[in-house]
Amino acid sequence: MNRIWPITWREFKYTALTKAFIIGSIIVPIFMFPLMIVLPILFAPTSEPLRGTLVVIGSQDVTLQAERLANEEERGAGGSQAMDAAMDQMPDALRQAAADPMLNPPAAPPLEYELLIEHGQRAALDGYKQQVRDQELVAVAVLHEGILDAEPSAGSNTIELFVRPGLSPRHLSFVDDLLTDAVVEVRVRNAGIDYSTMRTMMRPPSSVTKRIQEDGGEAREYEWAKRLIPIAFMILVWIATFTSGNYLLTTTIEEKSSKVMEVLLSAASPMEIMSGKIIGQAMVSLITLCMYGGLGIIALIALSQADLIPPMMIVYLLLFFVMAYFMIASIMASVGSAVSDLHDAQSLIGPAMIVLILPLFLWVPISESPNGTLAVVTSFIPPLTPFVMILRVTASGDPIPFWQIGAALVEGYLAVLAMMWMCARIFRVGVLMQGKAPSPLELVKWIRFR
Amino acid sequence: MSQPTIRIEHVDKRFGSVHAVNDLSFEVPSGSLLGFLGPNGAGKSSTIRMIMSIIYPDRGTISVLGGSALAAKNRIGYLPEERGVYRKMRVGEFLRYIGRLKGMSGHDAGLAATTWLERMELGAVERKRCEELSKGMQQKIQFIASIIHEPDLLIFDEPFSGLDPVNAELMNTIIRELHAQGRTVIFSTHVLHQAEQLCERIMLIDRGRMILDDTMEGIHRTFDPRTIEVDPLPGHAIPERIEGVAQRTATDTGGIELHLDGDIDPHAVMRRIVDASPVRSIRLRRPTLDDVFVMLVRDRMHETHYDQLVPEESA
Repeated sequence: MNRIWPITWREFKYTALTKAFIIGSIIVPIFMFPLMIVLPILFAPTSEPLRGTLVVIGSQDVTLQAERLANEEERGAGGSQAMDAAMDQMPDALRQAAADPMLNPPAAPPLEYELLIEHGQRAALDGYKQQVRDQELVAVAVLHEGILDAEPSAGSNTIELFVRPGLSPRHLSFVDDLLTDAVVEVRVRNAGIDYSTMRTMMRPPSSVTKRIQEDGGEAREYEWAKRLIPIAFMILVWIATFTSGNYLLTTTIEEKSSKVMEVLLSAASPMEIMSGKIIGQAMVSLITLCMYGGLGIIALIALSQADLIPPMMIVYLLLFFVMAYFMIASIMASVGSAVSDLHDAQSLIGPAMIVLILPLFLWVPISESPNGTLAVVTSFIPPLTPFVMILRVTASGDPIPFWQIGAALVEGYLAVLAMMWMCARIFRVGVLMQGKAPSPLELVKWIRFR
Repeated sequence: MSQPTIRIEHVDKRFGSVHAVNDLSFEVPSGSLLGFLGPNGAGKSSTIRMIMSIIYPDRGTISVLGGSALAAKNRIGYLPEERGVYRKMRVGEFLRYIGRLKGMSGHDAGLAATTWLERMELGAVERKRCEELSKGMQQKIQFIASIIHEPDLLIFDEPFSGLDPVNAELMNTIIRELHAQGRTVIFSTHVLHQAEQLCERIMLIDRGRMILDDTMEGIHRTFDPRTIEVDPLPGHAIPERIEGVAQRTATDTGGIELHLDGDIDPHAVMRRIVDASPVRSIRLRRPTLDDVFVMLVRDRMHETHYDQLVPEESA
């Protein structure tokens, strides 16, 4: 043990207390939160004012209605009645998310415009087109015959819009929305219905879901949060374990290629070196987990959603994180010891990565159905066990049978012991090998090597 | 008689089809200064790694400092041939790290590092990163790393490679001092004249087997000189025919080398030469370790066995 600690400390110090790690793993995530607020503002669309004339051919009523809508104060704010209607059709979860000020980026600034809308004659269409081409008109819109019928056919329910070259997408969208809203409103009015009353009546009620908390309090229920928590937890463990696993791989390769390994072996056994390195990187991994996990929990507290993560979930997270870390670490340490450069390592790690990336693809079916056959079966396939179990225990819905959690913990930790044993066997042979990377078959031979 | 520092008995080590060490047995007496030599691939590194318990024998036993090699790690200093340092680590920190791995406290390791850096004329680089040092300086840092914990047994693999003559001499002096303090020193090298100058005893292995284990004096005695070097006085020539001389060759310095017949007494031939012609100098050329090495290894390549040259007590 007295040899393991210096190795552990050196591994930790030269990974975690470096500029690269502090900037990459600590400072960047801290700055991500303010950036989430600042970036949408920086990237908010801006455009020049829309100035000019729009000619509408086909209906005087639509022209007038479009002119009236264009004079409405809120018209330039970016929304449209059509957009509102589309929003109304969205699932609750998305609508809630879209309405949430924490997630909804600040709206784009209102579009400035000075749009003159004129009624045009169909016979003069070619002339209007020429004017559009010459930038004298913003656009010319041709309403098809029958577009204002109560039940327009598919062929007639069309507006042909000829726009000048270089019209920005935002301006085009504005003109398009203006015309479609005007057509719908004229149609409704022609049917003898008061459009504004109908619009008000058609607006579906918004449901506000509240979760009764254990302490009797109430918290706003966000379906999206419940859906995101399992994948967030799994990605958290993924990032924490793979970041340190990669460090373990590269530091082991570096020690081999720089020949410092022989010096270390003269002072400590391969088991001591491997243990020291793995424990050192475990500390690094824990920092990453606490850093990102802590930020997530702060975000949930800010949204009054902390009760979504009960203490037992944190316990499971830690238990399965430790399991995942030692599985990944054993793979990375054994591969790092077996090769002399990073390129060779990639070819050996490739097959393992294909297996380990599976939980990312299986996120939706597993978290939607945490007690389904797929979820249960993959829970007992190491090294998928910790990742799948994290998805299951954090998914809302039917609780996971406790025996399955217990069995997965026992099976997973037995697999950890087996993988660490194999890793140690490979490590003690691999660190002394130079030159060509071994094949997977040779690695098996190393495990059996006396 | 004190217990040997190393006792190796019937050790075998195979790597796949390669028989790296073949039934090797020897002892290294405590306090000796031993040259452990052999051609490339002879099994030296494998033997040293087994002594260091980096690898383990397939068969046979190894006792180091009276116990298991693993337990004695902190009492062994090892300078491997394949040298390496942590490039980003500062020199002082690297030495403290190695010292701590060798069982020293951080404080003691720090003091020892500073002292040895001063002694090796590297006091100014303690705060520098290892990657900033020249190859020779890195070599000296690794030498310090191998002795910082004051081990009882020192194993140096090619300690002088990459060093200029001044630094090689400095290291040579330190090795002699360490030996004078009673420590056992084993060093493996291809530069045989260094081994000849430094070592009291030589072990030569080839193809995993011991082919020579003797003191330098014993080697000189065993490999009886068969060449006389003569430097005649100006104006005087050595007779063309001298009884017992099989062949003569001129040297670059104006002298003559006389190669003797197999059974002839070299001293009798020297007397005949002096009687025949006045000479400036005449001497028996002692066989160098290079000569012995080349002769033994070359002859083994032709399947001639010199097992009989190994003294009985170490065979």
